[in-house]
Amino acid sequence: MSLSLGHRGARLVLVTCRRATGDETWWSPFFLASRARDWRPILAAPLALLGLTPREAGSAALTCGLGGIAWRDGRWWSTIVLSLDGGSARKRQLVVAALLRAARYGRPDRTGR
Amino acid sequence: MAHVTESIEVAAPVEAVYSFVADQPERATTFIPGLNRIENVAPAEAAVGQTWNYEFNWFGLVISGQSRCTVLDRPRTYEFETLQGTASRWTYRFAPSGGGTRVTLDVEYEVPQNQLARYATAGALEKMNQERGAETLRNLKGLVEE
Repeated sequence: MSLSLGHRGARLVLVTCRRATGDETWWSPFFLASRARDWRPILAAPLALLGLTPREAGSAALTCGLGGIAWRDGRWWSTIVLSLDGGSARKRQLVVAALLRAARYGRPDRTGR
Repeated sequence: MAHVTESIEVAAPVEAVYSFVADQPERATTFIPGLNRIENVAPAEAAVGQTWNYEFNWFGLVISGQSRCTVLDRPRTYEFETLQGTASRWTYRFAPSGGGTRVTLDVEYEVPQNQLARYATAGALEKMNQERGAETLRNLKGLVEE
């Protein structure tokens, strides 16, 4: 066991606009990482765990049982737009929390599966 | 050891609730507050002895370590323990209740005194952990019921 004050390899992901639960925009810089991130496996992982069957929708988007997620890379940052309008507000709230946690800390290549 | 017990009624069959909790350890990151990473799950299939690495944010302090499944009694009991350092044992019990399931979460844990005593009293930490236990079950209910 070890104790520390932060997660190694965590990404900075900020919620820049929350219009409603599941309808929000996130911003994540990658200028320190030197290259854009592949958000697909990062965001698909929690959706799959929750049985929401993520599917590719073009080169920078996913759809799932509750709606869709799209991202766009600028020169130095990514903008992620969530458009989840299915299910109850409570369900969307929990799914959004799981997605945000994955965006910040997820390392799907290390699950061991 | 400190101790937290919480229960909740979930409007879903026992098998479904048990499966949601026990079949994939990494799913816990979607309903346990502060559990930000589960990695290196081995073997892939749930089994007694299955291990994984975790990173848990405990009120600002990140605790990393390894866990091991100790009980898989489908669909009644799922239990795992944390290995190394601060010890804890998490026991989920599932029982039919009406048309749904009563889930009881029992957590025994050691408080890492040398690191945390400076931040809060034992009583305050106990209260915060009790609230986290209740939130864990509320989240589980919200994800499983719909």
